[in-house]
Amino acid sequence: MRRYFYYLILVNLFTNLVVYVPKILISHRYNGVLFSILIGTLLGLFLMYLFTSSMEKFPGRTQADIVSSHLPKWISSPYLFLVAILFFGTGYLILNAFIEVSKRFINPDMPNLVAAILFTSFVIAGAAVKSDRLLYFLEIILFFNLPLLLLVLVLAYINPFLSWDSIRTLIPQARFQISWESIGASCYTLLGFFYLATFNKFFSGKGSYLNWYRMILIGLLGLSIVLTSIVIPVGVAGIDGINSYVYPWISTTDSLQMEYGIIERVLFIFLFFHICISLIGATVSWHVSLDIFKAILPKIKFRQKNVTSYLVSFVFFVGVTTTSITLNIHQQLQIAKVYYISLIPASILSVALMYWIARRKRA
Amino acid sequence: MKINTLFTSILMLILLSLTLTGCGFKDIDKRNFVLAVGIDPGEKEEYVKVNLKLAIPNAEKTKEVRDFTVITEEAKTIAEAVRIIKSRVDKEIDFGQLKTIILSEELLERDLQSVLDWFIRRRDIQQISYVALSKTDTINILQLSPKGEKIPSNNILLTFSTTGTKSSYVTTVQLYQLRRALVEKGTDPILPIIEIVQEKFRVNKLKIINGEKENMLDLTPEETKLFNSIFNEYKMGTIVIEGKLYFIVALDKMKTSYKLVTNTEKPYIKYDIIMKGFIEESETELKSESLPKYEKVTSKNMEKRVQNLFEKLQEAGVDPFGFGLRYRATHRGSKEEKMEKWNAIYPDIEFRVNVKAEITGTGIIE
Repeated sequence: MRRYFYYLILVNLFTNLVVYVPKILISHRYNGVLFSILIGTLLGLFLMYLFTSSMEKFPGRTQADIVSSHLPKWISSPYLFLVAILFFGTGYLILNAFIEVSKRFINPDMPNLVAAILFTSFVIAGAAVKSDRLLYFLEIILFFNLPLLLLVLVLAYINPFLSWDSIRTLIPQARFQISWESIGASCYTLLGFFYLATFNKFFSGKGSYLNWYRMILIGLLGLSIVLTSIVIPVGVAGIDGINSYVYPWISTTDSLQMEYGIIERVLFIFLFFHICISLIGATVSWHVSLDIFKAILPKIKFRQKNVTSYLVSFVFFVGVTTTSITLNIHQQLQIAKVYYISLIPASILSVALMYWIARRKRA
Repeated sequence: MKINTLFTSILMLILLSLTLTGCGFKDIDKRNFVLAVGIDPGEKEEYVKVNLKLAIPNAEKTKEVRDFTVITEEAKTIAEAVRIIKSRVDKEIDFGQLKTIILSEELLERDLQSVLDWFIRRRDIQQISYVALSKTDTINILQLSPKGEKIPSNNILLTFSTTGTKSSYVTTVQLYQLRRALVEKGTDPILPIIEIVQEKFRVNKLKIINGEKENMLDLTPEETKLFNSIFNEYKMGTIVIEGKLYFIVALDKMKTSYKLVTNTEKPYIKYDIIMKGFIEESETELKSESLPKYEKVTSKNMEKRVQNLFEKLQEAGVDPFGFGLRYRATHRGSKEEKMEKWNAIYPDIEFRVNVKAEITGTGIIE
């Protein structure tokens, strides 16, 4: 089952192209974004190592299970509640970005509310299935979408009109000033390992998730995806012009052309990738969030059935649909910034706690 | 459990049916596809005249289907003009197929960025549309349908794209490239000029615009050809060598690279060109033993011409090659500081062009 661990990492890597990460990185292009990206990915990689090596000590158990059996309830419940909220946040941001994009590019005549209801119900239905089925689903989605992403990236890099001088202009700006937003945003792309909170239950105890060369490979892949997410838009739209695009990656792929291909406007290929990755990314993170909520919330019985997860799903549903009609994209972007900044201390704390529990178990 | 699954699947089906909306509730026969847009300055001050070339769909596939109509409207902005045009047609106007944007040369006296704003902002307009400049009213360009054109507006499209004709005289500029060069400090946009000659289109001239200082420069067809072969590393170009020997070199390899040296007392740009080709036509007898001699003549000739082109651009104060952007890419400091420094350097910078020509043969005859 180890390959599913890489799918979880990959899906989080790719969602960074469809959420607000490129937009945040681009807004810091004049003040040392490259340095922040480097710090962010190194931090993400370090946390990945600590977290996976701690979870390996508890084969077949989920994070909620481990934490509540090793810590007193008054610490474990608020902690897990916070973690679940953060997982909800990931899916929330992906879904909201996707609703905006679908309104703008896929079906402009569909009201925001209808789109929100449609996509949220889809994601909730997906998040409610059993964990192993979700993993199979994830595998199929990635299988169909990886070639599309590769095609878009290859077309972007071989485009003869890509302005490499604009991209090179990023380098002299990389002075040693860092911004928390861009560190958080680039760290976020490598945080796919947190999904092990639920999916660790399939880990048999044999072998390990990572070794040093896999870590280097994942680190390089992560770094190149994060760099690509800023380099290609800057090369296509120019370092001075890119900031005015609200959806940098969509406008960028619209500037790519495949003259001899099946479809000339590369935008549509990217949009298809966008739809699939957004929906599966949101589904996976909400599945984990629901799973943790189920573990910590009291069981509410209705006709002898536990309806806690339905209630939580309903809260998710209301959360997305109401904000999708009340907040505009700039307010969403502000929420995303706050979320990415808060991810840094939250993930360090969370990983440190797990590491401490694992150490104590060994002792 | 079984009822639960049934319920879920029915729910999913209902939800899925919501996506079956077709083309945003408007079918293809209720749409008017815009093939080309022409923008002219309006008769009133600050007004723009918008010409839309609309396709008339035809069910029968006859020999030459060339039905189209051009609608013209004048308003303060492009968006307003399009709104008025919408009230004049019966179907929804669809810009999804728009690939050609023709701008009138007189528009350049205004702020080009504000003219382009509408095109960039619209989600349905392709960023890969071709942009060209017209010396006359753009309606003339839109209304011309040269013989042999099977689909309206296809002629312009094939001229600019590489799927049709390939010519080293044609400069291709797409919407996103124009916008990038316009906004980017340190590089200036170029636009091809489209004309009508003998009921056919002709694209062999180039205009370079400097947005801030309002300098403009027209290149002659000969200069345009040279510009294209070094700017786009255009491989299929030809070079005419005149003088004691007269021959034409057809290129099949063109590589350029340059270095910007500003830390010496006299800053210079070292421009290297490596080209490879064969002789396509000659008026004097050529010998394959003396190929090195021809190579030397070609190199010298080319060096001089490129040097002259660069100096002409420099004199006019335009920088389409983006030397200024290269300066920004290799120096530290804030954007404004660097641009100020560069603007002081550029008028006096020296060009050192170095051409390495290789001639592989004299064609299939000697």
